[in-house]
Amino acid sequence: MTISLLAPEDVEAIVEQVWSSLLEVEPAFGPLPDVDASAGETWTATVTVSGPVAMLIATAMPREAAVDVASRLLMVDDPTTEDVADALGELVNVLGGNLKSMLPGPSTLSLPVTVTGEVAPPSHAEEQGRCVAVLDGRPISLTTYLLDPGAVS
Amino acid sequence: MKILVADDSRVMRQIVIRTLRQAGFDGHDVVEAENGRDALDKVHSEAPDLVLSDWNMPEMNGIDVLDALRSSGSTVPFGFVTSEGSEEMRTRAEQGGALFLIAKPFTPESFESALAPVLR
Repeated sequence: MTISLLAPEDVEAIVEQVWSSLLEVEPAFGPLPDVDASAGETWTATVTVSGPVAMLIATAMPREAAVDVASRLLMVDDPTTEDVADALGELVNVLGGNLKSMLPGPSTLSLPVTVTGEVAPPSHAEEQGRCVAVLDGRPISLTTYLLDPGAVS
Repeated sequence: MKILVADDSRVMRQIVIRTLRQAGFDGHDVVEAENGRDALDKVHSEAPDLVLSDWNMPEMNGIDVLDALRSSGSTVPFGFVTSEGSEEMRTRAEQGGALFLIAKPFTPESFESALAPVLR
């Protein structure tokens, strides 16, 4: 069975639409800022799509960008840690919902999960796509992993 | 009028309430529910004139809330505000008796066109 998956330009279009609407800022794709990826704390939010295509969708960013996202969503200067976790969860939920609509159905979307640190996908998962956009000089990644690569090969 | 906003994300409830104001629907009372079960309880205790509900929530999802309401005889106007706007879900929402499904990310204009028939 051949299933057409998410094209990079479609993913970028969704990121652009979601950022513009929720964060009121246009994402900048392309050259990444010169940041030390090993420095500071990373926040990651994930959702999972279950259906003909099983997919893990993860957005990851430095803590400063996560706080910025929450500030923009809530329109407050000093969001709490709970606010930041909630905001990132909602960001990946909206991204995931829009990406899910481009995948074969019927499928379901999990509730979002936000953690501090990187998320290691299951060993059998396969990275399907990745885009990085820049918010105020900080990278925010969106990575999709196929959880059952054999089903779509 | 009283509007019940049901979403497990406090951030999204705030965004929905802000968008209601931006769409010109200020001046209404807003009640919040943090999951589907809470929404079902508050429809009975608060008697809202409109329910705006997320689909994917813990405890009880939005479509189960709608089914439970209709099964109990409630005819409260009900619309979804959800991150998923597939045809499959729109059809399911319509079959369940929802008036509309607004997909996230949304705009004040999409709120205006969907909610005006109920609130104006």
